[in-house]
Amino acid sequence: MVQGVPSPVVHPENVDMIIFRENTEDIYAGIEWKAGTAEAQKFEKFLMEEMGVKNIRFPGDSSYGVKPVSSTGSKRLVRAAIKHALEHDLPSVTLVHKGNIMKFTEGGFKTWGYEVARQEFGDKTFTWDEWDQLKKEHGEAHANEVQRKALHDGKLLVKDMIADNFLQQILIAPKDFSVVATLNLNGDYISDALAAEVGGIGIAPGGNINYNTGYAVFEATHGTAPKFAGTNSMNPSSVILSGCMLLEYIGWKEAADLITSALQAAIMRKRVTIDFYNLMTGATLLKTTEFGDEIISDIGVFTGDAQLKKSSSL
Amino acid sequence: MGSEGKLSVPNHPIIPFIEGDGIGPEIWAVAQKVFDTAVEKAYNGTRKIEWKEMLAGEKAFKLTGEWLPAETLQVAKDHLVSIKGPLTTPTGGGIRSLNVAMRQDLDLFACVRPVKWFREFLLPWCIPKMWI
Repeated sequence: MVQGVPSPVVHPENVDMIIFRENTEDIYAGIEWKAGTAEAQKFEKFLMEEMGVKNIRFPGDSSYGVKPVSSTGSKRLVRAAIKHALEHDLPSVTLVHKGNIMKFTEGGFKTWGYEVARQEFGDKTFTWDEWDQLKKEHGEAHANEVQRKALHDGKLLVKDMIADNFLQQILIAPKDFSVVATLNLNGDYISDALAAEVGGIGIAPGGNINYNTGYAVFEATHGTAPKFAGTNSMNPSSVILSGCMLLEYIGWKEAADLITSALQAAIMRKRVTIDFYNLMTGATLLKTTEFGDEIISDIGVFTGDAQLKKSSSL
Repeated sequence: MGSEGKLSVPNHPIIPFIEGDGIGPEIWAVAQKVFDTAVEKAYNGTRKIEWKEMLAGEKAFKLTGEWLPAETLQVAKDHLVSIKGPLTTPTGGGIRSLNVAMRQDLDLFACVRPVKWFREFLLPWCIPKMWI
């Protein structure tokens, strides 16, 4: 860190993304064996003797984990992300992966993601996969021209980015990203990094959804904070915003919008719970219940222009 | 769930909730009031959510001896859409995380997180030096 170097994170208002994290496979499948166990030894022996693996750096005391990533799992996730982008008229879907290193798992996610885009949404999307092909066949200028025209015609851009580069770009150029589709572990890091970027740790909402069956569980993303149980002091925003996601999911967007406007208004007035109070100057400290009442008193009163006017006068 | 993959939602849907452990019950109580008020205002009282409690976590363990009763999973399936507060991950003896268990049993394949800046939200790098 060099003093005086300007921080690139000066425009949090440019962060407006929605992360679709694959939730059922990847290394979260829990297939792993601890170093020194008979299972680890057996697995290592299988790798070396039957699979011809020669590049285990320290055989004998390595632990092992298996990372299953499937075509079915990747495609249903990317399909959901693309559908969301199309339904909400969003500009792009970015597939975030580490396919340069893990060619068949993370690289497979990218390949399968592009396949879904081209095979199932070919008339509504333009992919970087197509761009590569066009460049190869007709040159870069032509590829750029086709992309420009496709986006001008309102097609959804489906692109991809290597995970480490993506984590830099969300700080430097957050405007370039809208819907993000990624694997389980990457999604874990990315969700938390982005929540931190907008100061939203502790209030971030989340939903776990099966878009085929319709099953959905929306949830507060923070922990149980048992030390503070019964103190009526904690911030209820995570579960409230998760409820807004639920309301939108069932098509009751009007109700969700009333809540987000009212929550925004309470924050603008700096009438907040202890977590925000501690970091703001000139704030008023509210209990959990008082913060709830603050939101409730604003619901349906200050919306749209009226709310902005009120906010800016403070 | 309709034939075209669209949810058909009645004006008085039953939505199951898990209030959660630790600070869960107090934040849930506040949140529920907020939801009910917003729905009433948005639709002039023509729509209303019928909340139905599902047991999970410590409360479930105290009442039923199970951290995640089978009935809870069934209720979540019957009503399709539900909401939950934070849950304790039980320690020891091969009990899996309740969050993970629900995701697996309902095959909730997409974890969806919107990230957007609310004005005046606190940015960690704006915290004065003396506090660090």
